[in-house]
Amino acid sequence: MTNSRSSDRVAKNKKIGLANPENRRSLVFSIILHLVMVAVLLFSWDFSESVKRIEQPASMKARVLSAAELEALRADKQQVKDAALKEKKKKSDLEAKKKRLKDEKRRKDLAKKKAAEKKKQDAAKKKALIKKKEKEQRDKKAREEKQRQQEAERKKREQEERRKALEDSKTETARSEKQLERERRLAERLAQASSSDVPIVQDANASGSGLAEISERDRFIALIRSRVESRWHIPPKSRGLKVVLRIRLLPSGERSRVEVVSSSGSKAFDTSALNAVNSIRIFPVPDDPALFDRYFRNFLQSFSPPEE
Amino acid sequence: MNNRVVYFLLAMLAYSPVFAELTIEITKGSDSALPISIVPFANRSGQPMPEQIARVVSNDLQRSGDFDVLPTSKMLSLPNSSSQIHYRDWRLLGQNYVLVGEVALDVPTGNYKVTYELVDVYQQKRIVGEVLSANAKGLRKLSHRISDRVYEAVTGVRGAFSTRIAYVTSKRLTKNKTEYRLQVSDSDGQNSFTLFKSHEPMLSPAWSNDAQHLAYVSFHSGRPAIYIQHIKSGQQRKVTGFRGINSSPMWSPDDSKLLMTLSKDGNAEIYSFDLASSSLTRLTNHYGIDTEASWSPDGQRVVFTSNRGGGNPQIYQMSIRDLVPERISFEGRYNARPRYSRDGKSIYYVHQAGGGFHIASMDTETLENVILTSTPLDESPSLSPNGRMIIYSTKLKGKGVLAVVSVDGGAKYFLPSDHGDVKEPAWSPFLN
Amino acid sequence: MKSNSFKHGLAFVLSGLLLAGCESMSTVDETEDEFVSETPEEQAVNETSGAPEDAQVNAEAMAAQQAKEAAEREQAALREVRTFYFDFDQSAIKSESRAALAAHAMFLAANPALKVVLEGHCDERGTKGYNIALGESRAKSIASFLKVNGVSDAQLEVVSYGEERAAELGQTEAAWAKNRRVYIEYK
Repeated sequence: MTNSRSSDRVAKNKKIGLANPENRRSLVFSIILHLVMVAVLLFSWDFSESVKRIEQPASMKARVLSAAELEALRADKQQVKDAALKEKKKKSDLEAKKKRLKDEKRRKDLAKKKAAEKKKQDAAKKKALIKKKEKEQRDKKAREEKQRQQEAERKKREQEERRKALEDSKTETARSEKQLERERRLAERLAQASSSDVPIVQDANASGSGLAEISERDRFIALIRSRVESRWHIPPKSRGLKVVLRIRLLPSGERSRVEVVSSSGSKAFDTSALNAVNSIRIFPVPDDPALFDRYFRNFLQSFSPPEE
Repeated sequence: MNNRVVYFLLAMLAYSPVFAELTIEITKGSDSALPISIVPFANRSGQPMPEQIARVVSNDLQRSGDFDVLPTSKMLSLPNSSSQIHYRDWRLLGQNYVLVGEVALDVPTGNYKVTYELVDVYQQKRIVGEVLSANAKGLRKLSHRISDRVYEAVTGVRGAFSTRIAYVTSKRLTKNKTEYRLQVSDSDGQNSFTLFKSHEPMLSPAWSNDAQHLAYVSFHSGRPAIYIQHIKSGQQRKVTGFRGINSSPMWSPDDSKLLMTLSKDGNAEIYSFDLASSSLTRLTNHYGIDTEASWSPDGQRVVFTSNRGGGNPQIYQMSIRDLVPERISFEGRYNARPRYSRDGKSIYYVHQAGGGFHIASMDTETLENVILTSTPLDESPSLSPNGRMIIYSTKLKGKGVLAVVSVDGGAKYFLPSDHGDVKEPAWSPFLN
Repeated sequence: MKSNSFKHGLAFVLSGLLLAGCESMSTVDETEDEFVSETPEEQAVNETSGAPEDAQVNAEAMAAQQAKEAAEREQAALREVRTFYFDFDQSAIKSESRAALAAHAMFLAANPALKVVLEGHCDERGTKGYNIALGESRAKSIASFLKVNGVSDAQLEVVSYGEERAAELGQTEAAWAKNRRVYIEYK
C-alpha cells in the first residue's frame, strides 16, 4: 500500500527539471521528500523482511543515507524500487517455498501419523477381532461344558433307567414287553420334560385350538430333537455334509421304519445319522391321535454338523 | 391397516404346516465318544495267546478319542461271531458297534488265523469281516490293522494305528556323559528299536514320504551334521557338515530334496538341498534367524521360523516361486516350528502364552488360531498321517515324555518312555 | 554504477541471509530433536568409558612393577570366568560380562597361537531348531566382541548346542538362567 503510493510520487518528481532555478525550493523539498521516501522505503523494506533474520540493518541504513551517495541514490530510485519489488517477490517466493516445505512436512507428518494411526487401528481391529474370537471360543466352551454336564446328567439318568429296565427284564420276564415299553416311554418322557435344556413351548395366550395344537406339536419336536441329538455321534471330517431321513412311527411312538431320503455321499455320515435314529426305539409322541397322524406318523429329519 | 391383515395372513400361512411334511433339523451331536464294545477274542489255538488282540484294539480305539470302549466287565455276554450276538443286549448297554472274533492255529504253518467281525447294533448287520493270519511276532501288527479297519468303517477316515513314530531319547549316565538314541516304535510306543546311538546330541528326525528313511541331525562327529538313514538296512549317509549350523532337515513332498538350516554363509538361513545332485539353493537372505522350514504338501510353499520382524521368533510363509516371506503369526511373542496339515490348510506350531509353550493350530487363510495343549513345555508337534492326532513332547514331573492330542483338542494321552527323557517325536506317513 | 551494484549486492546478501535463516530455522528444529535423544546416550557412554580410564591412571601412579603384577593377577582372575550368561531369547552381551571378556581378548590377542571354541547354549524353553540358531548367535556375539578387541578370526570357532546340553537340570528360572550361556573353551 504505502509502497505503491510513494513510487507514484517518485515518478512525478522525476519529470521536474533540475535546471529550473524556480524549482530549487521544490528540489530541496524533493530531496527531503526523497530522503523521507527512501527511508520509508528502506524502513518498510527492512521491516518487511524478518527483522530477526537480518543481522545488521542499522549500519546499512546509515550508509544508504550518507550525502555522497545521494545523487546516485536518486538515479537508482527506479532500481531500488525494482530491487525492492524483486526482493519482495523473492521474499514472497521464499515465504511460499517455506510455506510449501512446511506444508509438505506437515502433510508428510500427517500422512505418517495417519498411516501410523491406521496401522494402530488395523492392529487394534485385528486384536479386537482375535479377542472377539477368543471370547466366542470361551463362551462356546462354557456352553459346551454346560451342555456336557447336562448331557452327563441325562446320560446318568438314562443309564440308571437302562439298568432298571435291564433288571426289570431280567427279574420280571413274565411282564409283557408292551407294558414295559409303555413304562419306559413314560419315564423317558418325564425325564425329557424335566431336562432343563429342552425348550418347552408353552403359549399362555393360546386360545384357539390351532395355537394349542402348534404349541403341543413344537413341544414334541423339541423332545425328539433333543433325544436324537444326544444319540448322534458326528464322525470326524463331516463339515458341510447333510443327510435327510424319513422316519415312520406307530401311534405308540415305536419306530417302524427309517430310510435315507437324500444321502450325504459319505457312508460313515449317513450311518451315524441312521444309528442315532435307530438307537431310539420309542419316540416321544403326543397322545392325541389327530396330532400324531398329522405330524409324527411320518416325518423327515435332516442331519448336518454344527457350523464352525 | 391393510399391512396388518397381510402380515396376519402370512403368519397364518407360515403356521399352517398341514400340507408340508414336518422336518426336524438336527445340527448338534453328542459330545461323548462313540460307544463300541471289543469282545475278547476266543482262543481256539490250544496255546496261550502271545498277544491279547482285543486289548490292543481297545487301547488303539480308546486313545483315538473318537471311541468310548465298554469295559469287558460290563458286557452281558461274550459272543465270538456275529451269529452269536443278541442285539437287544448291546442296545440296552447303549452300544453302537460290537467287534467279535476268534483265533485258531494253522498247524502246518504254525501261524495264527484270526477271524473278526464288526457289527452295527442298530442296523443289526455285519459291516466288516476278515480272516487274517500272522505268526506270533506279527500278532501285534495284525491287531493294529484290525483297529485301522474298524476306525475307517465307522468314521470314514483311514486309521493310523499301523504307523510308526521316531523320537530321540537321552539318558544321563554320569554328570558329563549322556546317551542319546534315535528310536523307532509302533504308533502306540511299543516295539521300539534303536536306529542310532551316540554320546553326542541328536535331534530333528524327519520321515521321508515313502517312510523308508529318516533324516536327522547328529553331533557325533563333534560338530553338527545332517544324516539320512535307511530304516531297514540301517545304512547311514552324511548329507551336509558345513561350518556352523546344520539343522532342521525336512523332506520335500517327492523326497528329492531336503529343506535345511545352514549358517555357512554368515547366519542361520534356509536352503534346499537336492539329494541327487548334492546342490544347494539358498531360500532366505536376512541377518535375523531363519530356520525350522517345512514344505507345504503341494510343494508350492515353505513355512518357517524367523526373528526378522523385531527379534522374537514368528512364523513366515513364502511361495517357492518368489521367495518373498510373509508373516502369518501375530499373537504373542513366540511362535515357532510350523508344520503344515496334510491338506495344507492349517499349520501346527509352538506358541508361547502366559509363560508356557503350547501346541497351537492356525488356519492359513483366516489366520485364526486355537491353542490345543495346556502343559507348560509342549514342543515338536507332528501330525498323524490321517490328520486326526498330533504327537508332541512335553515335561511330566520334570521328565521328557511324548503325548498325543486329537486335532480338535479333545482326547489326550501319554506314551510310555523307554530310555530316560523322550523328545522330538515324528509321526510316520502311512506305511503302505 | 557502484551504488547500483551495491544495491544488487545488498539484495543478494539479504536474500542470502534470509535463505540461510530459513534453512537454519528448519534444520535447528530437527537437530534439536536429535540432540535431545542423543545426549543421555552420549553421557552414558562417557561415564562408562571414563571410569576404567581413571582406574588405570590411578594404577599407573603406583610402583610400575607392583602394578604390572597386580594387573596380571587381576587379568588371570578375570579369565577364570569362562561362562557368560544371556537373557531369554536374547544374544546381546550383558554389561557384567565385559570385563572378563576383555581379559580373554587381551590374552588371546597376545597369544595368537591359542585357539578357543565358543559354545552357545539355550534353556529348554522354545523350539529346538530355533534354539540351535539362537545359541549360535550368542556365541557369535562373543566372537565379535573378541575380534573387536584384537583377537583374530582364525583363533575362534563357534558351535551351538541349542538346548541339548543343559548345565543345570530342572524347570526353574534359576536353572534356565544358568543354561542360557556361552562357554569359552581353550583348546
